[in-house]
Amino acid sequence: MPHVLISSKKCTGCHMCELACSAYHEGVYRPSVARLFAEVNPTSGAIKGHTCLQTACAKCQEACPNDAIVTKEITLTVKGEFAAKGKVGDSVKGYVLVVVDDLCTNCGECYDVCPTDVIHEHPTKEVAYKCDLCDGEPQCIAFCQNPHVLAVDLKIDKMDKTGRAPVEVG
Amino acid sequence: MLTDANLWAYEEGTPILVDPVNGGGALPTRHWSSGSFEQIENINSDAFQKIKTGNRACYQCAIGCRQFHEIGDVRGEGPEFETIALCGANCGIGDIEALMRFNAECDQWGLDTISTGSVVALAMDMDLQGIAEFGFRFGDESYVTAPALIAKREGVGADLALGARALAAKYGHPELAMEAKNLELPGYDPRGSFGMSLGYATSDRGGCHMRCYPVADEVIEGSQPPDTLEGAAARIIGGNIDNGAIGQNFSSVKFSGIWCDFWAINPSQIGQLLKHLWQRTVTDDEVMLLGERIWNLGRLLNLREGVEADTLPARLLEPAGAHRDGPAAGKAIGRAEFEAALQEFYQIRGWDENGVPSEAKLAELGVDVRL
Repeated sequence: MPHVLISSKKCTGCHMCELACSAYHEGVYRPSVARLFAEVNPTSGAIKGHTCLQTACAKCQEACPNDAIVTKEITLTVKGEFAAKGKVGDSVKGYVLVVVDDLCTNCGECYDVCPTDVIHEHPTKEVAYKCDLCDGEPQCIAFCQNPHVLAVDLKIDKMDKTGRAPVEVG
Repeated sequence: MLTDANLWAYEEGTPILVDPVNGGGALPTRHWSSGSFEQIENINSDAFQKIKTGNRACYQCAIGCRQFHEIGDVRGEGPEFETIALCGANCGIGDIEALMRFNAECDQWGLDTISTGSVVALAMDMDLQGIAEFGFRFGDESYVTAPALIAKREGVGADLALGARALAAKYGHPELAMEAKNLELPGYDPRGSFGMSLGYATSDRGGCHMRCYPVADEVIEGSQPPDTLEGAAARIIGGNIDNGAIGQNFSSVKFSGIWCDFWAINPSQIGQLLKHLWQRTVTDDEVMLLGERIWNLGRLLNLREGVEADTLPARLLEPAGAHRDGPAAGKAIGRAEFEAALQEFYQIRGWDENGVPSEAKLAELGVDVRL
């Protein structure tokens, strides 16, 4: 199942993906409200990427007591070589986990269980917010501007932890 | 933006400059006593590629030119070209691990590597000449203790912390300080690239290779002769955007906009960006005028604050200081030639013989403030 992955080997820690994400979703260039991030150790230079693993993880969906995190169908295009296994340029059908604002009570159960620390309370709305793969054209991947080395890309995972059927979400 | 034009910055970073500058006899070696280092193969770009661990970028930059390395128990960012020059060749250090360690020490203690490398090399030179004993010698790897001593002003660090000019003066040899306007000179020896003599001397903040970069013409590309000042004044001011030989006017506007040196941005692109900001057309000419205005305003401020005359250490100008060997052997700029080029520089800029901007020039630039 597709999810965004940051290559810790190729990532240079420029944070452009975070800027693209915050710009697309919140209309501001503010890494603190991005739905993914590259953690950079300033001394050793070590990089750790934090992205939503979507249905390969689904711990947030499992923890939610209100069924507010739903599975939605999505079609994406694979850009770079990274973990694409020959699918570059192909359209990939998969699933994405989406927060339904009307059902979310901001209880915080999902914040506690996320293994990659990428679901939080929205800066202005009292609901959870997370990566939604940008309706099929992930901006983080589009803006990883290092064309010689695409560090942010789609990983097509075989795993699917979601127990719930996909729904139509407006 | 990362393009084919600046891919070198990602793949090698600034160490790419080591071999060409050394090859041109313009790499400060053993406190400026030579222009090329015989052990350069141990600390050039190829040597660092062998111990490279990855690239990192400054915030928001797609280039990612910061090179990370690891050797022994030392790992981290750099060294950049300037560090390889001033803390490597200039200290006679050809050991890559010692250089990495010295760089890491400067990093930890928050010391600039150009000034630190320069003052340590000065100390080594004074030791060699029997002027003072600091316990540091050319090629001696114990020099890695220097940054901590300087930062803490401990032991000999108290003296070294004075900086090159004050340190040399304290021990009665002011002529040994390799600085301009009290800023230690970076990794380009003017005797191997004559244009840099004017560049260093006329820089507003002292010995600086960023204000203008005739090295690109004279040494890297070889499109201009490195051993004459003829035509240099015009190149220092106007520069050449296509090959990286940036001039003072363009560097003024480019760096005021905080665009990275390694993005080969041109006046037209700056004009397009400013158009979005100012909501009107901005021509290439206006962009260059902005740069010239910035430079002149800086000069007015400097004059108000009592800036020193535009000059260089005698060793870099006079025949007695010429290199004895290497590609720049026997080449001397000549004090008379330097002064003539300086006057040419002032004339082109519309300044008087003391480097004071004329009223006509200030009016032309639309400068109505008098500092």
